[in-house]
Amino acid sequence: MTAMRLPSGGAIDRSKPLSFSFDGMPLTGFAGDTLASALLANNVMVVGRSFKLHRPRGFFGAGHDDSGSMVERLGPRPATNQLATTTLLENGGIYRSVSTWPNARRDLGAVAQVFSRLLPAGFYYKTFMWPTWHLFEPFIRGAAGLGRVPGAGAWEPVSESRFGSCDVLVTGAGPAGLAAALVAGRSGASVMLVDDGHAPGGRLASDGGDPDGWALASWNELASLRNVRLLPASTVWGYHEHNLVTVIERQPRDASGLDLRNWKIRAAQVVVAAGAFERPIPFADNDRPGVMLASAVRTWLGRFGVRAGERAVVFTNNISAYATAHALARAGAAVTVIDARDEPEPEAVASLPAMGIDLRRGTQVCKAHGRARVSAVDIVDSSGNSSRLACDLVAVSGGWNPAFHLASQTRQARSVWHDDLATFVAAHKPASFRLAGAARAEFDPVACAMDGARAASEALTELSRKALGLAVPDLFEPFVARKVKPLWFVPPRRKGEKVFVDLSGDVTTDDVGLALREGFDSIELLKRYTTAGMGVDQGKSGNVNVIGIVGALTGATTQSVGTTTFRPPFVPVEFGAIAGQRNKARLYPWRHTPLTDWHIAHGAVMYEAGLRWQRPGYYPLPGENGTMAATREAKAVREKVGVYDGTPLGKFQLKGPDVPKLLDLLYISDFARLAPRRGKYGVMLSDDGLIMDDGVVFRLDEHHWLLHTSTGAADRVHLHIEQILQVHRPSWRVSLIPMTSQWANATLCGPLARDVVAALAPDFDISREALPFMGMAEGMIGDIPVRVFRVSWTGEASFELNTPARHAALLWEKVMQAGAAMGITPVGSEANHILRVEAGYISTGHEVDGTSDAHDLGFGALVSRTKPDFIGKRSMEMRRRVDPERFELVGFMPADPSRLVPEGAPLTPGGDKADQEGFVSACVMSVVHERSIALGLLKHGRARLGETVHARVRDEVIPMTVVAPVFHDADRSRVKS
Amino acid sequence: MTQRYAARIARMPMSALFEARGTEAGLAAGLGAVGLALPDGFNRIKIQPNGGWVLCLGPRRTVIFADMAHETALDGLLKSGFESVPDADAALVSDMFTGFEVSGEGADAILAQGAPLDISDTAFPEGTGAGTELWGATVMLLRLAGTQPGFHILVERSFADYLEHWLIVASGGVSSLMPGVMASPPPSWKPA
Repeated sequence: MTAMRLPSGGAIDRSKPLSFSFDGMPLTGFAGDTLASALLANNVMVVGRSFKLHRPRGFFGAGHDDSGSMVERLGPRPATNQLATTTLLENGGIYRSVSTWPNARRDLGAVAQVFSRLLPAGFYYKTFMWPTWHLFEPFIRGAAGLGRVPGAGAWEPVSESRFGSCDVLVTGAGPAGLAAALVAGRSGASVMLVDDGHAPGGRLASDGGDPDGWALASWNELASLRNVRLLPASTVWGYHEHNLVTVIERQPRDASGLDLRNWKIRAAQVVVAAGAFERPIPFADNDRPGVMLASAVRTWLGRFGVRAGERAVVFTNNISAYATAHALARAGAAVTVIDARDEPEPEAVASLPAMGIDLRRGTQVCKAHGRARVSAVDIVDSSGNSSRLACDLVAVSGGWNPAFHLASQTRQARSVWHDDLATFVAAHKPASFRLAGAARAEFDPVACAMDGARAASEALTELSRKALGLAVPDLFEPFVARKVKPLWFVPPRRKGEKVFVDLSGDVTTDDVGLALREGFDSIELLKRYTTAGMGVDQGKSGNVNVIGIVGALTGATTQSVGTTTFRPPFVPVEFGAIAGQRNKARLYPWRHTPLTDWHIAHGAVMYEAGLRWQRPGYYPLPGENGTMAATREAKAVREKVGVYDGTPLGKFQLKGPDVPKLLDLLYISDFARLAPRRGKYGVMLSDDGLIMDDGVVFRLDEHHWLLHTSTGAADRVHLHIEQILQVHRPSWRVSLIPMTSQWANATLCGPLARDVVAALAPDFDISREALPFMGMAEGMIGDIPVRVFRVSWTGEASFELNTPARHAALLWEKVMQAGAAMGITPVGSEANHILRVEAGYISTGHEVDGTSDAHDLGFGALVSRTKPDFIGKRSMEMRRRVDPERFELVGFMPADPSRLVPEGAPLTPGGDKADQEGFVSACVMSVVHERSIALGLLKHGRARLGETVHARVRDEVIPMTVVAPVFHDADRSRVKS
Repeated sequence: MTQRYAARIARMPMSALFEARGTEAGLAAGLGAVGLALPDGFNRIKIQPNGGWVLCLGPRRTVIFADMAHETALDGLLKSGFESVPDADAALVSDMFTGFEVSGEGADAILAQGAPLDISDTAFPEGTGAGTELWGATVMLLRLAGTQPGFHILVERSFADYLEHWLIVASGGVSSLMPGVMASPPPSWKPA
């Protein structure tokens, strides 16, 4: 056994053993382990296979920078694509590697390596094209990719998506982040501190740089502050405009049963102390299990008490990896340091002999050996002499890349080359966005803390708050990288050897070279062609190496090659977490009327019918389908009386001396002379001269008016009027109060409607003379206050009984009782549709489809010839003069009286495949004519009555006769009765 | 109390509610004539001697809230108060809104799932009210006064079932309220 758990050390609880299995192997770990640390402690090195070539892969990083340790959790809570390095170990957990068969150690998919020459970058553009790519696609997609989507019984995490706000949001609880949060928190500002670890300190905990426990003490102090919210096990995954920061919080401690919480936080100031990512030095076969980042090796040791190997090679070009060499040596490993530099820092090498660490200066690792785990490396010195070193662990450090991903996401920050550290740092950030600590290329922990304090102080100044000083913490880091000799890769000594620059996507230096030769010399194009930086780790470790290699191969400076753009998400985020509970019945709002319970109790089939209102479609009796029920209901209205719930109609109360001017501006016809207690139908146009809505306006008294809109246009009309009053005519004295849900509406319609109203015994006159068509009355029905409007949308005499919503159910019951002897029938929206088509009334969404104007729909006579202007007048007139070829509202009689034509069916000359000359807007089975009838718009329609036109539907041409668009009550005598 | 967050969600009994809209001067004149004291700023609540309150939601909109016992009298007063004011109006809208009370330590956590507004007690303290959205439904949100932390919500009654459904789910509960489904089915009625 080479990788092993040490008897002491780490932040795990050795008193709490946990059992789990991986790829069928029963294993044990401890509380506090990640799945990765537990596997490593059990000397499990192969945890997966590479994306494309199915090469065996182990752990490369110890956190989000790991590239190859995706696993599937079979139980508990089956889920796939879990990163082993960030997944806390659970007792009883059953895990398996993804995209392997039968397991990661012996994967048949490895046959892909035989064909690796056929799989260069962009191979899917070049190979497998004959006879067709689609022949190969299923196999290639099956072999590549990640885990399988869990099937039935899959775990559905309980997720929550919520908003948050704070004065200062701090990302990262390392020395810089903790210091920033302390300074901001002590000032009284509201602070949120987000850290993706399960314990504070960042690298301090791994490197033993916090002997006095400053990090934990700081965390505890912050936890005691009421104005500070700590979010451990959370990751900032996106920075969006105006300091909107998205955070994924896992297993929130304050919410039992909650698995994921997605935060949408609006922060006045953002301090990013997200640290830095160590980068590798690629060499031939550098993907062998056992080759990993030097910082990861220290994390295994410091956090989890796991020594990743017993014969270690530390390959570096900078001083920071010497800390790894020391840590390994202290843990009992035999260590050889391969330093690419001729002159390492004296303080780094001074203690090596005493610790038994062998140092090779000016030497590079050029190849790894082994298959399931590294067994040796070839090294070459500056003279070209090579030799082989046996080992079971290679710890690599090529320098550090500050984590400026979030800065990049601001789309304002620019990447600037840092010569000493041979990496990019962010500059020109938004004023309310600050980097601190290692994210700003400051790697000494004390300096990091002071930098965090500085960033917080600046942020507080912006908030007009005073920052208190921060005592310098006693932190320690023996080997801080201040100078790095760039070493982007070690060229292979033999042709065909693979040097991986991006382990996530199996991208090699050969792929980069090929892309350049094929002309993809822009780093953004090269990224997309090779997929470098597009894998699981999103280029966290290898991106700068790719840029450096492009520079080396093209002779360009690294600065001029530039960086690619980092975009959200910073870490993989479950879609379900982003949605939270917004699914199923919670996708969109829905609305009920005060009569919804009655409708359902009486068997109504409910569905949305405009502006989120749930309305009864029809009330089927036993044995009836929807068509039968709607037909029965429509017949009842034509022959006796029906009642429907008209509550959703938009209602607005207007008052003020300028209301007549407003109405004359809004509608095409004249309203100024409308007498009190009378109503008028109106058509409203939008600025472009097309119909926005039609409705009825009643004048309640000298000063008050009531504007009714169609259900679907109520919100639109409200905004339209508010814009006129607030923006275009602010001097007009008009008050507008929305009243839609204040008033419930039971509309009685049919030849017996007046009889039913009479049976309700209102205390006001409902005679034809006193309450004519387009008239109104107010009074009481028993104890119920009502307003009655004489408006019709059915082609029958109608009485809209409006009452405050509190009385709706009682009024409805009274109506049903009063009408029982007359055969009153509740009517749904399907029957209403039949009735309005028969009567030739237009409907928003059918005839009013956003392309028709008032003349098109036969309202030319309503257009005022006296008033100088109304909204849409100019546009309507211009359009008609420029293009007089208008579609006009007409009726249709299908030649086959039993044939219903689909709504929207196009009309073409002769039914040929030709330009459309109209369309069918509505087609119903008429209860008056007992045959199908339709409304629609037809080019020059009104001049073509009697012609035969053709609706063209799938595989069929339907002939129809053009008729006037009124099939019932053409003289409106029934409506006005 | 709900299982995930310590909060109580309750529909409030119907209250007298009036909307007053118009010009700033008109509103001041109309409400002044009735003797109602205006808040000292937008999104502020002014408690009235009768226990009701007035919330100013902007230069053109004020909401008056009172116990139902005062509804008829207040309606008459406001009608007469605004009668001579040409550019402002007040209307009874008690039926138009449904009130909810979400109270308890977990109230913030529930409402923060739906409200994009900063509802922390520093940015949204007692005596504050605002027009905002909860899960896409327009509401008036008010911070409760007194020792119990929490909020009053006034939502257009057509959205009340939708909002209650969300409040329950956001608190960690399970809601039987669904679109087109009865809030309280009678025992004898069973859905098909």
